[in-house]
Parts: sequence; C-alpha cells; structure tokens
Amino acid sequence: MMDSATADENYRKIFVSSSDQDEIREALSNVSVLTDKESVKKATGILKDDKADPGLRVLALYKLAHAIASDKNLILYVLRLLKNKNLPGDIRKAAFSCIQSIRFSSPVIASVQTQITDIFKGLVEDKNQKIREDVISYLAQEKDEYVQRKLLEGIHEPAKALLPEEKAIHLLGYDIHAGIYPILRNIVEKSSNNYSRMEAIHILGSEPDAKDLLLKVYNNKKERYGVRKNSLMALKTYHPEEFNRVATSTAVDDQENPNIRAISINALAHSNNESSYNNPDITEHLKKIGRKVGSAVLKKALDYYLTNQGQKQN
Amino acid sequence: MNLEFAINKKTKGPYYIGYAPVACTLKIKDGAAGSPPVNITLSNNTRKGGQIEFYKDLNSREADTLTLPVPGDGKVLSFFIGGKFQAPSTEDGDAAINFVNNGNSLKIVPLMVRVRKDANNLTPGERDRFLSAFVKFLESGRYKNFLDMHNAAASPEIHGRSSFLPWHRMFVLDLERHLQAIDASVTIPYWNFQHPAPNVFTLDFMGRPSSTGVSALQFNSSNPLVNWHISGAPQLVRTPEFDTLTDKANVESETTTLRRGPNFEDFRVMEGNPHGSAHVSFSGNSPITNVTIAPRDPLFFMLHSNVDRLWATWQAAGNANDRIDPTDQEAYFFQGDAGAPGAQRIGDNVDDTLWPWDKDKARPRPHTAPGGTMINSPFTAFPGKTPKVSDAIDYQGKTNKQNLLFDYDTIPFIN
Repeated sequence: MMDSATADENYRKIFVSSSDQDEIREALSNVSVLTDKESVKKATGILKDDKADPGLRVLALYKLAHAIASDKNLILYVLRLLKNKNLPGDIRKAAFSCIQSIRFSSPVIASVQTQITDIFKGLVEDKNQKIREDVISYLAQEKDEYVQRKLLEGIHEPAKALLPEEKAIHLLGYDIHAGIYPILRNIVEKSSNNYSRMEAIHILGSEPDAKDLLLKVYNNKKERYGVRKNSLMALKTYHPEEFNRVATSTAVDDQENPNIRAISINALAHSNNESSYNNPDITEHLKKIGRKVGSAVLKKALDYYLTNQGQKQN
Repeated sequence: MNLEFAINKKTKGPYYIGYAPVACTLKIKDGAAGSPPVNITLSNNTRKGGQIEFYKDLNSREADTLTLPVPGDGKVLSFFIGGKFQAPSTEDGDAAINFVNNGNSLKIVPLMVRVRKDANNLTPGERDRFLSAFVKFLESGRYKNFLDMHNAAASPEIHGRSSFLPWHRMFVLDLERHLQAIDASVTIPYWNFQHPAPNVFTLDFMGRPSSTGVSALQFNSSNPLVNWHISGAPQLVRTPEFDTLTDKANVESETTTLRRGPNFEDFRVMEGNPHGSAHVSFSGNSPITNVTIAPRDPLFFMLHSNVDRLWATWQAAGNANDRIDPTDQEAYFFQGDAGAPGAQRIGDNVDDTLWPWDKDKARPRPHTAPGGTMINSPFTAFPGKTPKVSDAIDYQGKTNKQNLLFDYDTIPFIN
C-alpha cells in the first residue's frame, strides 16, 4: 500500500511539474482522482484549453470529477462543454458522463439542476446520436413534459422523430398519461413494427380497460414471442387475478411454447399469492410430466415450482 | 446427557454466522447440583461445506477445535464461534458442530457460514436463491420503500456527504435482512466492478441487452428476474459501455481506491470514482445511471455491496482499530451529534441517527420517511430500530462487541 501511495504521489509530482506532453499524459493516466490544489489547477487549465489534445482534455475531465462535483462553476463549465456542438464528440460525451456521475456524489448538484435540465432540453435535437439519445433518456426518466411532447410528436409524424418509434414508446413509459393509450392500442393492433408492439403492450397494462386486449394478444399462440411475453407480464403486474388464471392454464398446457410455459410457472412460483405458488392441480400435473420435459428452462422452472411447495412467502 | 447449545440466546436453529465471532452458550440441561464439569470437545463435523472456528473468549485466538469444561450442575458456559476465513458455506446447513465427550458424539448442530460473495463466482444454487428471494420481495410490494429511499427527494440526504458510506451500508443491510426473512441462506453478492465479471451479465443472472429494439434486458425463461417489473415503469434496460466478458467497468483500479488515506475523509472520495463511475458505465437509457431511479435495477444492490466491501477492505487495512473505531476521527471525521456547536448538517455527525429509519421528516431531512424502522435480525439486536452513523462503522464488532452479522468472503475477522 505504501508503495502504491508513493507511486501515486510521484505521478502527481510529475504531472504538476512537467511541461512535456507525453509525460503529462502518462502521469495523468496513472494518478488517482485529483484532489490537491496544484493538480486541480493544472488539470483545469488543460480542460479549459481549446487547443489542447482532445484525448488529454477528456483525461483531465475524468480525473477532475471530484473537484468538479464540489464546484458549481466547474459544473457549469462542463455543461458548456456538453452544449458546444463544435467540440469533438468524445469531449461532449465525457462531459455528459461526468454530469451523470457527479449526480451520485455532488453536494452542490441541486443548485445547478435547473441549468442541467435547460441545457439537456437544448440538446434533444443534437446531431450526435449518442448525446441526443442520452439526454432524451434522462429527461424522459425525469418525466419532463417537453421531451414527452417531442416524443409523441415523433410518433404521430415520423419525419420529426428524434428516436426510433420503439425507443420513443419505451421512454414515454416512464410517465404514462392517459392520452397515450389510444396510440398504444393502435400500435399493438395494427403496426408492423414488432419492437414497437412489444413496448406498447408492456405499457398498456396500466390502462384499466386494456385487459381484454392483453388477453387477446396473449392467447394468440401465433403472436410473436416477445409480444406474448410482455402481455403476460403486463397481466401479472396490473391484472393479477386474470394473470393467475391464464398462467395456471399455461402451466399445464403441454402444447404451449416451452419458454412461455416456463415463464408462467416461474411467475406463479414467485407470486405472493399462495393459490399461485401452491396450486395442487399444477403440482400434480408437473409431477406427472417431470421426467418427460425436454426443454432445459422448462425443466428448471418446473423443478423450482415443485421444490418450493409449501414454503411460506413473506 | 441433554446438551443445550445456543447462539445469541437462540436455542433452536437454523443458525447463520459470518466470520466475526458470535456469542454462544452450552448448558447441560439435566445437570445435577454438585456435579463436576464435563469436558466437551467442539469440532467441525465435516471437512466439506462451511468451516467453523472456536474461541474460548474474545481475547483468545481462534482454534479448529475447542475443549470446554461445561458445568455439570447445569450452569451456562459461554464461548464464541465464527466462520473460518475462505471456507464459507455454499448451501444452507452444510456446516456443523460436533459436540463430543469421551469419544461419543452428544450432539451435531448444523449451521451455515454465510458471507457476501463475489457475484461472478457464485454457484448456480447461490445465484438462484438470491434472485428468487429478491423477486419474491419485489412481488410483496415492499421493494417500493427502497425505491422511495433513494429517489430525487432523498438524494441530498444520502449523497455528497460524509455519511454516504455509512448510510448505504445500512441500506444494503436493510434489504439483505428482508431477503433473509424470505430465505435465510441468502446474502447480497457484490458485483466486483473493478474486475471483469463475465458470469454476472448472463441470461441466467443479471441479463443481457437485446441486440434489437430498445435493447431491453433478456433473461432465460427460468431466471426469476424474468418477473422483474416495476409498476409504472417501462421494461428494464441496461446497456454496458464496456465489454462485460473481458473488461472491468469504466472505473479506477481497486489498488487506486484502496490506497487512499490515511483517514476516512480521504477515502470517501471514492463516492465519485469508482462508485459514481460504476453507475454510469452504462448508456444513458439505463436506469442505473440515473441517481433518482437507480434501484429499479437489481444490479444496484450488487454494485453497492461492492462499494461497501471496498470500504470494509480499507477499514481492515488500518492500524489496530483506527479505521473501525467510531470515536476515532480516522474512522469517521465528524464526531458528536448535530446538536453540538460547530456540528455538520444532521445525518453527517457520528452520533446522528440515520434517515429514514429514524422517521425524521423535519427539515433539512426529506419530507417523507419511507420503509419504517430498521428490520431486526433473528440473531442480533444490533443496530436496533434507529441506527446511527456510528453503528455502521464497526460492522464486525471489534470495538463494541456487537456486529451487524454480515461479512465479505475476502475480509477475515482478525482478533
């Protein structure tokens, strides 16, 4: 440990004192996060130098994370880096990652949250796809109404879409509004985009009147596997009694897709409902077929169900 | 001879121990007044499974066997046991103590040496038991409390301050005890993000992102996590920005983290890197990258189990007890409580109670206190319903003789 600490101190000294770019880069690569005034000052100088090598600026940003987290002005500077569309993508992506990371550790982040949100909103149409998707994801997770409107606009008018339709639907799932349900129903029933249908059916579960549609989709054994799976999980989350009925039926249906069957048995076994995890009809049937099951995942689900019979759920 | 054995006054199993010694007693229930002591030798009943070490008292060294003069008149004799380092259990009850007198086995008591392990090295059974317990807990509806304890309103209370590590140690412990109420053999394994963990990001464990669509996480149909769904949320996504087969997460090395020092204020810089950096080693559409919703991903608790393990490793590397004694500023800088002159904001001082278990909703604390008080363990009354910052520091009980009953497979108890 002492040797490692000494090595770190040596790298720090080299970083602070050297004017050789290669030496600086190597020292900065090897030193741990910068906390002392001299190192922070030098690294900040590199970060703010428009003429410095982009890779070195990214490295400096990375090592300055602790200093940035404690300094409102530095956070705002990093946000300006993110906002600057003339900068190389690597610097901007590193800036985004830095902001996300310091949200887990910064004592001053709350004081700049408004600026973060405003700058992110300004980037929802950024040409850099990664930055665009990341800021839109963040804003959607924060239930931002502006980005929700933009995502909906893209679904209605594909020429204005900021993201692929299925990603837009997925992100709207962070804050479900009643107004979206008719759109989701239409997608499930008519769209040829199965990724969109998978996302839509997952979210539709929260609509009280969607139960029949979920059942219709699930009971169609010719339906795409991912869509059926999501309809089953939506039933489980939002319509547990109906789920219990269909999953019980599926569990004993030897003609059903083994993966769908395994998911049903798995879900019943982990249910909080004793009539689900301790169902004598299911138990009897699974015991009968036990050795004849060819599918490994079905066998595993079956074994788990039978092994956990009678265990009290808390 | 009717021999009664107890761990922490529990006379009936099942029993679970870590590496840190726990108080035990032996008593000859049918002893007669005036009878001489009976020598009883304690040893491991099997060389397979978890192994146990025995301590005459807490001033003694551990031993593989121990002969005790148990009072013949029925009085209680105290001693201690702990799990043997690097010999934990893999199955419930795979360890056992054999109590022998004059070559005759009087009693065999099964137990489990239960420690938190590297998630990358779990047996399939260990992995599946953990996942099952976690999903059952989610299905109970009570996991919502844990989401509410780590949301936007909570973040200023639990991040960016000295109590970050103590608070998250209690947070992980709270969940772990809830999982143990479902399956007592379970601990929260750690995702060792400073090393490649190819066995973690698999269809049978934490899932892999689909290569199509929104890159939703995929699980094998028999994986309990196929049931993982947070009400009111879209499908779970987690897209790594590192090669999960060959690389560590985008974090500093473990050596770098552990060499920070010499005191806690130097070490806690790790809240940024590797902790924050581990969280954001995934693309921005992954909830685990967003501080307000990160626990929606079950990987969250494995990430924090490792953060805690790093702290515990750093503590173990200190001189004597300087990094585990809550009264030592090397272990924790801000002494006293929030009422003292010059104190830090409430929650940061070593004698402050920890939100939300203290149910404190007065400013500057968050306006809600979800989840209630800290859950008890059947084997210890520590830390009690309203833990303090200090209770999180000496988790093995070296200074206060009360341990939190968790250990890491990589950190021994050194008496």
